[in-house]
Amino acid sequence: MSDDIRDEQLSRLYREAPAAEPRAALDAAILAAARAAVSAVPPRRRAWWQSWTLPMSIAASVVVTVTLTLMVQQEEERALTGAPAAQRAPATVAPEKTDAADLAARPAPPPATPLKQAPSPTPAPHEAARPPAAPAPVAVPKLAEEPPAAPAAAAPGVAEKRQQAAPAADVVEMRARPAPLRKDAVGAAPARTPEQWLEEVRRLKQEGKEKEAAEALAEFRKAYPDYALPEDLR
Amino acid sequence: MHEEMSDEALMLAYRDGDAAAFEALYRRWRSRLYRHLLRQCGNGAQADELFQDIWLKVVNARKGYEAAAKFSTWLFRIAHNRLIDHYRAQGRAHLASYDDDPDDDAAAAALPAAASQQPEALLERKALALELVRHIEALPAAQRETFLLSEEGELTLEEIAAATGTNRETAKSRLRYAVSKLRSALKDLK
Repeated sequence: MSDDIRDEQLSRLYREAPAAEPRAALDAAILAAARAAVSAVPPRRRAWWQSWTLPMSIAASVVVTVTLTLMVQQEEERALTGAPAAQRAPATVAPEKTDAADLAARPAPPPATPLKQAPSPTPAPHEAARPPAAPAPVAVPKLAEEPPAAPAAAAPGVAEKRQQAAPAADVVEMRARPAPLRKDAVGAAPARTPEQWLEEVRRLKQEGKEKEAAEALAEFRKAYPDYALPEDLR
Repeated sequence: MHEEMSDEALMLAYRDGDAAAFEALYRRWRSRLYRHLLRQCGNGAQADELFQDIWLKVVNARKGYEAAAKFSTWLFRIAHNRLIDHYRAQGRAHLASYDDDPDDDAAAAALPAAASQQPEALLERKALALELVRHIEALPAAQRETFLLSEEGELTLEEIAAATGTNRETAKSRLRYAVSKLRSALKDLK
């Protein structure tokens, strides 16, 4: 093999030397290792889903995180807006209802009285201020404990007409009215709006019942401390 | 089927997952590689360890095997590298023996004395062959390796040079000295 240097006689003698062989256990160990190395190929077959395990787990984590975040945000919004809304509900809804009722309860339109409730020549409002005896078709606020049935039926139509006729200034005034105490006021004098109440005071004044008028006014101010009183009652 | 395949084809088949191809290749080379190692280290236990390490390296390096390289050259190059590691682990004496590559008469004088004390036994062919093996084992490491690569590996000078990381002239020189010393020893025996 190694060109002319090789000595054939020497090589022949070398081959006659006792053959040394690896042990059978060594053969078995090496062959087993060789087989194991190539039979470890099957992992490639599993690789299609194994290779997806990491991306899928990351995607699942992201979905769970985003979902939880959105849920928490929604819960927070609900907690911030839902609860106060529930508390505010009477305050926000009631004035509108009572405003409508006020308009309905108001007598014939005295258009140009933004802050002052003009005394009405008709007795209807006075009558309306006392529900048990109210003959006129007057709208009664829904907060009233015992709304008269028959007149109330006509109320929506009247309210609508009055509302249309009401000047914008009146609306502004009404919207600016303090709401929270109104509930108490209504509770104290059911079916009586501030305007009606003030009409009552005026009537007492006109009738010369100054003491009663003063008491009624004091009671009114107690009930509506923030109400801007008409000039004639200040 | 595997018996008709070349060493290189078998190794490529094994690289591609054919375990039986490795077994055929192993059967072809196991004895020669084992003897090559046994003559180098002269110790059965060490030869076993080296033998197993080398074949495991073949297994683990299968992906890097290219058909351009002759399998036997590749196998014995792995063996050479493992032997160098073995010499390093054994100590400086073995490495010095390999690196210095003594090829003078002094080295030849270091060969075992002709066993003229046992003339009857040495006349036997088997005994003569055993004596030859003893002389081979006593050669300087580089010469011994070169001689064994030529005999057991049946490598050419170029292949020996490639397997041992040297050039053809060095391989040729080592082989010449090895053969010369062994002839001389055999003459004494005869």
